[in-house]
Amino acid sequence: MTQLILLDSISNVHYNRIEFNLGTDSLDNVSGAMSGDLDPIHGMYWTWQSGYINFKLEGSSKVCPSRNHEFNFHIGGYLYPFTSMQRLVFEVNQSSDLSFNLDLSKLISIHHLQNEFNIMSPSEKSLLFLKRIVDCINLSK
Amino acid sequence: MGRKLFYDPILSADQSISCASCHSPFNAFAHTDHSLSHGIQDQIGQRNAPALFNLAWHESFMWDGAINHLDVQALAPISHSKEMASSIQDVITRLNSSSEYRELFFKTYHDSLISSERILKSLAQFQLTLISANSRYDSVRQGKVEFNLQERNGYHLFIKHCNSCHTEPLFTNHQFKSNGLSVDTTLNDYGRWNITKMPSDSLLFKVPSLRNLSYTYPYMHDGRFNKISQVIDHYSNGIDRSVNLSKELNNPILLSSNEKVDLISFLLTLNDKAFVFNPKHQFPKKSINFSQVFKIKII
Repeated sequence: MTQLILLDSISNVHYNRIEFNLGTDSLDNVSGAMSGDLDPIHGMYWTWQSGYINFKLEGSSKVCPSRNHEFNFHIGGYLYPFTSMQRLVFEVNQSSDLSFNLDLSKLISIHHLQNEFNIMSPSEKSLLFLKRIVDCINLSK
Repeated sequence: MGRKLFYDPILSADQSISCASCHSPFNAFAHTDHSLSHGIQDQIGQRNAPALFNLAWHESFMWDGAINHLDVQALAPISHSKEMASSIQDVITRLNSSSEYRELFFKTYHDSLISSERILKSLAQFQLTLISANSRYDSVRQGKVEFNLQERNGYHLFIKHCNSCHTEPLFTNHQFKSNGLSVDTTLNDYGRWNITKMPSDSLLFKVPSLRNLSYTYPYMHDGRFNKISQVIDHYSNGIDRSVNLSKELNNPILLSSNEKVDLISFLLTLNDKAFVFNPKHQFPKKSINFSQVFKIKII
């Protein structure tokens, strides 16, 4: 399954650098009840501890020794030292379309599901998983 | 509308538990008689439900500060499997099926959209009205009355031994501290550490306000003390010094039995009866339709 997010309002522009945030910034995390994309009904907000879940991946795999072979990765957190928002910067030289892809199969393969199948709070483990997410983002022309 | 939601069990999965189930107005919105609060289907939680008042001055919520904003606090009990065992999505669905709520949302927000933001903000707005500032202590501070001799002695003892953490006039500094409670090994609750995972935060809990303390027993995060005198005894000779103890408690608090009585007599001046029995904070009663009452009398 592929989820495609198109930003088609900025065509015909030459650009040499792209920066964006991966995840919600700390201000959004401390500003109370929000609507729209930040509405907690979307399941991307922790209820037992304030803060947005910036990345959620759930599924099952035969290699997981868990109940029903399920895995759950809920990556988020805005408090130091487990801050999960990432500022991504890409130097490019481009005037045509550019795609950012998150390679989920690579993420699953470098993560070793048999050892770590539940990460659901801000921690050292979630930071490591986050680093792997960033490593699985690639650019294609 | 926030008050109606606060008292309405519609928030819980089987519509049996409201916010007021564990935050009763007559207990200064705490849960008495239970060391640990209980939720849906008689399940027992992990902590004693804290009293709710003067929340506008709080920077975080819950005993461990897990919640950073009053708006989003309600998500925790709504979703917790041992409290209301529901979800904000299901609450929206249940409220949408009630014509009374649709009408109420329309009156409040000028359209009938029932959203999580509106539900949460209404609950927060009601809770912000819970202000306790009418105790005997407050009257003394306002110059209306004076402490008696025993209360005044108790006040001086309080300033010397307690005020650095239970800072007047709110009677909390809103910080996280370890007050020398040994770990209850049936719970293994490490408080603030659960949130920050920092060893220095192990066994730190939020300093509760001492206002309304007669109404809010039992005391401490796990409700281990039933009486104020047990709390005083803990500070004078029950401190466990092995537990990240707050520096304010480095020096032993030595109190004679007379001094303990004086201290308690001061602490009792923090009870705010006007707050606890304020009808504006209580269960929203339907207004009586006098024409119907009159008709019944004629018949």
